[in-house]
Amino acid sequence: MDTIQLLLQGIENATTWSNLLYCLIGVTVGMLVGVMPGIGPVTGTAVLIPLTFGMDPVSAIIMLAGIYYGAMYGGTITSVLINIPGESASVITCIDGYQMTLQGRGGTALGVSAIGSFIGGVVAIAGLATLAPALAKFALRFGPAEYFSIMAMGLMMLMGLMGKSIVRGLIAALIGLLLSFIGMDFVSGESRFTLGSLELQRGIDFVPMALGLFGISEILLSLEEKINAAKPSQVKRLLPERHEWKPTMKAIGRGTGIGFLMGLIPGANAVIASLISYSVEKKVAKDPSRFGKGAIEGVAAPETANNACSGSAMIPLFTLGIPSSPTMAVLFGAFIMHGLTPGPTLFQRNPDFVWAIVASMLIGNILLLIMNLPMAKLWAKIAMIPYHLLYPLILMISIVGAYSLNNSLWDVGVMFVFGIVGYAMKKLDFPLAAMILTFVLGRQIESSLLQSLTLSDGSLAIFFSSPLSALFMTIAILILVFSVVNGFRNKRKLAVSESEI
Amino acid sequence: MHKNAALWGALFVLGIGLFFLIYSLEYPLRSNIGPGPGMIPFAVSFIVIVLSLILLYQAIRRPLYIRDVLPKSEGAKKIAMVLVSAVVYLVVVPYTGFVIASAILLFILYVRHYRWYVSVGLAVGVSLLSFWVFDILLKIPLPVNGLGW
Repeated sequence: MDTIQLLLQGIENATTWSNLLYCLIGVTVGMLVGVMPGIGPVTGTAVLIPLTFGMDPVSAIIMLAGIYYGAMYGGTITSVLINIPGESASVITCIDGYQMTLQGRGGTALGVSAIGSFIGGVVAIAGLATLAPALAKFALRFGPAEYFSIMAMGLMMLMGLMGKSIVRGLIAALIGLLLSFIGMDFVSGESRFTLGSLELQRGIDFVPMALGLFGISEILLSLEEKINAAKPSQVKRLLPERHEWKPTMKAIGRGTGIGFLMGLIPGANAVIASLISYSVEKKVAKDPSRFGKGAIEGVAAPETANNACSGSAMIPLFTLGIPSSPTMAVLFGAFIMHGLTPGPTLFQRNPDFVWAIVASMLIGNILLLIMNLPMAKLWAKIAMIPYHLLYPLILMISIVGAYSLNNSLWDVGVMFVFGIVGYAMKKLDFPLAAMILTFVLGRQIESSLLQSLTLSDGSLAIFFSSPLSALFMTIAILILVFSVVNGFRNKRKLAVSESEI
Repeated sequence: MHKNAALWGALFVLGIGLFFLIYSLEYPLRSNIGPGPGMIPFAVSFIVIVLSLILLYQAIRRPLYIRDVLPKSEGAKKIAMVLVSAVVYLVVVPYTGFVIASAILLFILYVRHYRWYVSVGLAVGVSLLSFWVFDILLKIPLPVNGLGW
């Protein structure tokens, strides 16, 4: 009962004119980011962070979160109509979605995706509203050892599931951690690794780093490839045939479940959720050979899953303070900039804030459903803007974003350096996601580790002394061992390409 | 050997590991309450070094040639232009301010695709428009010159 009351209050907060406007701006930018290849949700959210400085935290996070789930909707449109995924969680949708377009059923593909995304999104929000408070209460009991092991588990999952070389994953993660040590150490008061530079004294800011690693490197990579956007075909008839409703709704149901569960796991992201749900659909189908030839379930399920995942991914962020993907990491940073600490205490200290965000996500999903069903064609046209017209603009906006953070050109320089680093890392197959996550979590990782070791007088056994911590640690170690063994055999079943979701 | 991109990558990682390892020796490993500020950076950079040696071994066994990694001529030129425009921007913006520096940046990137006068128009128009949006409308701090633009 309490929950409903809080949610109603949240709706009241979220439906002020200004918050509705910010929600609309957020989901619109999200759609744009989703539709345009060469700019992803990480860049979209990071660029807009400086814009939010003057706002109150509720409006700021409403807008930034809107970009995230809005991008999930937007990515579908280009995947289906022109066979180019606007963001990586929609890669799998290209397979059957574009086939449907070739058969003249592009409208239906978009229709079921929008419906599925909406259902997945709303169920995930309902899950967030019901599960998160309990989970947060539970997480209040976590000590530093539990925290450290749950972060270790999340990071190992990320690396294990991304299917890259575990050595490269670990290196990326650990370098991210080392970079987070630069600057003032809050435990000892010592300033570390600053090379005597005043700028490094306050550490590397994550906004220019995220903009560089994801935004600039994405521009550089896109310039290499020729993006040939075909003219999108006519969008007709958005709803499926009568006999298709039942299998479609079943697929949406499965997609919702899979996406929701994947979102709960720190380290699993929307890309993985959509891939898994696609392969599940293929397995449960009576005739798997239809997949790849325009199977409607192959569009409905993964699109539902990535949306459900983007909703439930808020749960680990809100309750544990652990971002599970780079976009979440940026959101995490935005929380901190606005003086909010994501984690179990958030529900106690800032219930208004949490419930307003939850309510705004509900509103945002409704806005997106409206934007997607009748307006799909319009969005597809935006994808036709030639890239050579677009990327200088993205570059300039990124510069503004990096500069305005601290009014300093130093940050612009940092952004470009990380742009080149990110480009090289992608070329050499290092996962960027691992690096940004450890970087953002660096302070928490170090302090929870230090606190644990102080409690135990330097013995690592503390991570196995409580059942919960032991469980997390064991899972982390199992994933590590499994990945190493698997790496030697060089067999990867679930190889996922680099993603920034 | 020197054409092996994977090898260079591994050496770079090794360099980062060594830098942090040596630097971390400046800070106490232990403090009176437990582990000191140098302890975790030391341990982490040590692991990075070990991992970079594995990477080095892999790179020698399975080379990844630079020519296969780097883009072909057209793509390489475009990427070079982005980096050149970025450097030019950073050099001139403290003197010229946002509008002129952005116009130069945009011009460098547009002139390869459009006629020069179209590029000038686009560059100037877009930077004026973004100045209006960011500075006047949204009141975001921009790098400006003495005249305020």
